[in-house]
Amino acid sequence: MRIDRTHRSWLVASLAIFGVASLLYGVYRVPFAAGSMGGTTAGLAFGSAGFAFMIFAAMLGARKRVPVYRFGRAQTWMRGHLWLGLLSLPLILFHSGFRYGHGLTAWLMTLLIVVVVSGIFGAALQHYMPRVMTREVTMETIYDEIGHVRAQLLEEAEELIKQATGGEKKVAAGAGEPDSSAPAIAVMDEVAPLRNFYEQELKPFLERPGARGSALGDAAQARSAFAQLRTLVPASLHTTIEDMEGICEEERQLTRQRHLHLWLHGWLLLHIPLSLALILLGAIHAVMALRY
Amino acid sequence: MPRTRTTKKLAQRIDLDYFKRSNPLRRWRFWLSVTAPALAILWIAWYGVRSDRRVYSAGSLSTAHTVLTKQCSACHLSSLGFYDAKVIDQKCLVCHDGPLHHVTQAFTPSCATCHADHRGAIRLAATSDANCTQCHADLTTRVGSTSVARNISSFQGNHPEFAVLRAERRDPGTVQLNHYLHLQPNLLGPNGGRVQMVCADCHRTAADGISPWPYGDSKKQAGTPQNSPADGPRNELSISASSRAYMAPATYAQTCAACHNLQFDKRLADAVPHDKPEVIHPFVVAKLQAYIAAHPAELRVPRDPSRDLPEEPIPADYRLLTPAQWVAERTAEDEELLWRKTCKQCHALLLDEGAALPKIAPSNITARYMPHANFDHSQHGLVDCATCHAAAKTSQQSSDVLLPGIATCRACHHSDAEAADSRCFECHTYHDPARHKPSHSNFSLADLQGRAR
Amino acid sequence: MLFEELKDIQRQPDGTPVAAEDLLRLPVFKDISPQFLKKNANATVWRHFRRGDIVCREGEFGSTAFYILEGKANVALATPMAHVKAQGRPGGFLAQLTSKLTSRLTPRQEDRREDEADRRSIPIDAPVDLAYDHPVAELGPGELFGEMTCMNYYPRSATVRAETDCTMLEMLRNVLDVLQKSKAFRAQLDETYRRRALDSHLRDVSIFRGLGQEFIDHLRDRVELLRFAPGQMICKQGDPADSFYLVRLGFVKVSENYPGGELVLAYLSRGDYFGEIGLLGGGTRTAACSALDHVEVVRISAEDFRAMVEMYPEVRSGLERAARERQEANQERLRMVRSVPLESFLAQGLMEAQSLLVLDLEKCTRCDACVTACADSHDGVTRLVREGLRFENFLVATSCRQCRDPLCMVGCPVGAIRRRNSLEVIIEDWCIGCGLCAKNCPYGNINMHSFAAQAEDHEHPGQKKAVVQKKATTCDLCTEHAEPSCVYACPHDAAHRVEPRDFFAGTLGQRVGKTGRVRT
Repeated sequence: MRIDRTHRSWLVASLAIFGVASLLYGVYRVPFAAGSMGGTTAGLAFGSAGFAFMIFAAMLGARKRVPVYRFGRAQTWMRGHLWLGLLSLPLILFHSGFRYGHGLTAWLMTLLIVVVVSGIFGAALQHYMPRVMTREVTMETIYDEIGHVRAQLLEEAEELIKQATGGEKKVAAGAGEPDSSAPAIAVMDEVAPLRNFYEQELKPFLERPGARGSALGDAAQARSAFAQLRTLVPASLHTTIEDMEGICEEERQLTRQRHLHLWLHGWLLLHIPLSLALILLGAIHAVMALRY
Repeated sequence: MPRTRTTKKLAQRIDLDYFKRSNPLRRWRFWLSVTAPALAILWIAWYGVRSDRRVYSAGSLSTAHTVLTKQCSACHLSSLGFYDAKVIDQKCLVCHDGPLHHVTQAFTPSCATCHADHRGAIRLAATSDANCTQCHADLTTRVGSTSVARNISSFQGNHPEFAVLRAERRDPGTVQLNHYLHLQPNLLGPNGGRVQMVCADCHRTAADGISPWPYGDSKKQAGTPQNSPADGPRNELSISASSRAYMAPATYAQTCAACHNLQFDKRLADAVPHDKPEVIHPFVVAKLQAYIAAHPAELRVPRDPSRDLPEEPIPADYRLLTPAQWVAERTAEDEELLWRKTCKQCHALLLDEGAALPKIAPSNITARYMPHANFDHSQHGLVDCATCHAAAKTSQQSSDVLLPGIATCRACHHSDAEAADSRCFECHTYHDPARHKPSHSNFSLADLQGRAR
Repeated sequence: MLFEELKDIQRQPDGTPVAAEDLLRLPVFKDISPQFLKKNANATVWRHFRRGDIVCREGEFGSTAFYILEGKANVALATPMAHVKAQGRPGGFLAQLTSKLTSRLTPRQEDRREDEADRRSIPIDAPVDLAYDHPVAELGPGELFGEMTCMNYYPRSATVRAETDCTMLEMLRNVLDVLQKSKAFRAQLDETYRRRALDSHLRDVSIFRGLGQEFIDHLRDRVELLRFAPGQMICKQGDPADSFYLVRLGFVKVSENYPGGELVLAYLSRGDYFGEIGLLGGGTRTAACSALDHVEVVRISAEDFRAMVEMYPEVRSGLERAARERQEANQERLRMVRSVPLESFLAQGLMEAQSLLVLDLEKCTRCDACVTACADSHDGVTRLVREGLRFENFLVATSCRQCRDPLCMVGCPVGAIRRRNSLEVIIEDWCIGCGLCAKNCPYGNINMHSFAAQAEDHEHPGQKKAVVQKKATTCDLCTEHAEPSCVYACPHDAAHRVEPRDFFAGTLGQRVGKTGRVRT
């Protein structure tokens, strides 16, 4: 989600909440500077509010599982998640009186900070990465289908080669006399570099595009490799080469896409599990602290 | 045949069920989302199984309570016998006594309100000013009147001047002493030489009283009680013999005897004891009697021509007195000297017309000027006496109160970070020590080691 | 036996080509040149069917027509008469809130869609149409079926099963083409049509619906049966409107010309009609009608009609009402068409679209929430694919574009795909799942999905058996809700259903630039 002007009302509301909370903290905290903040009335209020915001933020995951249910647009939930989730950090800091705590509360504070920071990092990624992806990967496809598409690209390349080299062979067979092998060999020679290139460079690259060591993995190197290839084969095959170049470019882009996609979604592997643990431990902390 | 990209071609490359299938990202996300909370639960359960509640503790215990770290129930036990995060007063009172501060106080906060533990290795008694100013910032009492200023919020701010210095109070002591004179250089010393006296020659803490006194009675150094019952201190708080906090009241024997000789008769080298007139009189009489018994020739008293009075007939050249007469005459003379000169030099004597012996006013030397605040001289050892008690150098009247004012204290004790501490508890005690009762706790060693229960 | 001549013809086994001499013996082949027949010796074959054999199945592709010589055949639609409907559970607030849409096959009785044509007969590629309530009919000797399949290579429109032992001729297109030019054949076909199908076709015209049989009989004899070749204009925009047309065979393109281009209003197929305004006389054609492929129409001229209208005043009022509605609809369409399109926009065919699902790639995190939501609202079957070409920073997703020229509608053998005024593409109950619309859509927006259904079990009449029926599905704009599910479910404000010219107006304006040249 791009954080743009449309977030203004959320920003203002969040700042207002933060301002009010700070004021209340200043008023209620100073007299009890030595004692623990968490158990006082104001502390409990801060703790409850912070936990409520955290629960709402966690609900986003649940909301996304039932996208068709019509209570609140996904966008609203997402913005709420961002801003209220962010607010939970200062509220919990107020709740704790800026104390780190001990045992369970120390772990909670650690988890909270990691979750919120990773969330901010993720929000930044989601702000910038889509633009980067759009710009860099023009031949983007669906991430989950990259393997499938790659298989199809390989088939396409096979087909190209078959047509290019097989077709030549047919021409040779049809045109020449059955016993004159010279023209056949001549034609075969023309096609051989292409076939060799395919067998040695292109096919391995298409089969394992992520592997290092392939010249085709780098755009500049690929360009020069293909340029060189063009000098070795007749002009009639240049369209084929162009198509192959296109296929290679697409492969490279898909590799890039995969890389960017993992960045764009990888941080969730930290954020989500830790936030679940945070909610769970937070609930235990609330129960234990209130009951006793 | 150049490659073309059309929407249809692109769309048909896609398998329509792709979003339902799992992929590594989704799998990892699922399994991590299961593992993290599971680990959290296990961690809590591990503590739960061992009934170890320390994981819920908000911080380590203060130094004094550290021994109870594993015995949560030593403090955290409600009246019903269940674990309770709030510590009830009864639990504190098992080991401590927290006597009432003042009978007229508007409310009594619970122990835990001011003494919050689980904040690491701190001094639990060191409470914040907020706990005091919650009442004293705007004092109200159950009876309406207050015995202290109504609005005290901080030492630096509106803490009033010390009571003894307000309203031009005077030192109630009746013993006259001119500090200015005594601090002059080239005073005539005990052995004829010239001396310069310093504060410590007379003023020492009780514990330091054991060291030799330069101007004291050499015969009476060791084991001298500080406070003679005759001139008891002004207030009830006595100072223990081992106190290093307060200066013990100066006594004649320790600080005056060497220079201020109580010789009463030129014939005798003896000095009268530094005691009441009722004791001095028999002493003098006894001494004179002993003298005349040893020197019967003195019974023949020659006429002293310088004592002839013009109108009176000239007395005989000699008078022959009985020993009793002689003693009586000499006693009267000597006591005249004592009452009117020697004792009077320092003490206030009341000589009634009809009374045989004068009355000496109690000396009223104040042992502690501030009964409601604690002051420790030994902690202020780095400072020269005269820095704080500057008035002593110029004081010529013993009615001067030489206690330094609050401004002197504030020179160091203010609220800046680098200053000396100025919190209430540095000087004042909340719990009234006069009401302190002993308490008996019954923790056994096994209890403390966690072996019982 | 209808054909006496058949007595003399030696029947050959199933699949043997019919000898030219034998063919010439049949009355319908009377005018055909013998040389032609000899040259195309293998173009016609004998077919023998036993009772219960399937002659052809609906949805199959074929290239031949059948001419029944003897025996009776049963023509029916095996598909369940139900359309795919995405609906939530009925109920109160909570049910609405948690409505997970399911795609179900819903018959017309349960779900009446507004402004439905209320069609009672289903046009098929046979001399007779099937009634909606009971889509079964009988074909007998002398009847030709499979014309559209043969001439235009459309899929078979219905399932034909031999009711008795049958003998048929199966012929290829070249033979049928020649036959259609022969007067004798034409006369027979026309006569069959008038007798069997015209009646129901006329009844299906809304303005004629309530009329008495006498009127229909009267009309039936006065109609003209005309044929048009592919591409031929039937009537031009601006021509005087003087006749009423009913489509008998093939597809007619009804379009209007605007400064911006041509807007196809509809593709009319068998049983549809146009030009009823012409029946009132006066006025000009507001749209042009041309034959898309081999078209046969029924024409009723205004003069003939006027006379009858005197006798039936209610027909006139019905006509006038229809005319008024048509005018309003025209105004509406005129309003929707805008200014000159721009090259770059045209290049992708985006001008064709009236509604696009665009994904803002600068906001999209590729999370597939839109696809998941679409699938969730449609029983696990997504109607959108998050792949396609880009326009600037937007991905134009593969999801129905509500094209101005709806190519998907061309060729439906049973006329099951049409469009409502709300732009939504409707696929009717009798979609036979042949997949032609999916093939025709240039963007791949239509997908075939299988549904479990109950159908008549022909082996055990009266019972039903479970079948898997394919039906065509496409984005239905989630008209059940205020906002399409995909747009609703996107957390990043990246999915939008937009009218392309409005949405890209700013960009398009910019692209024109100060010099007026289009910048690429």
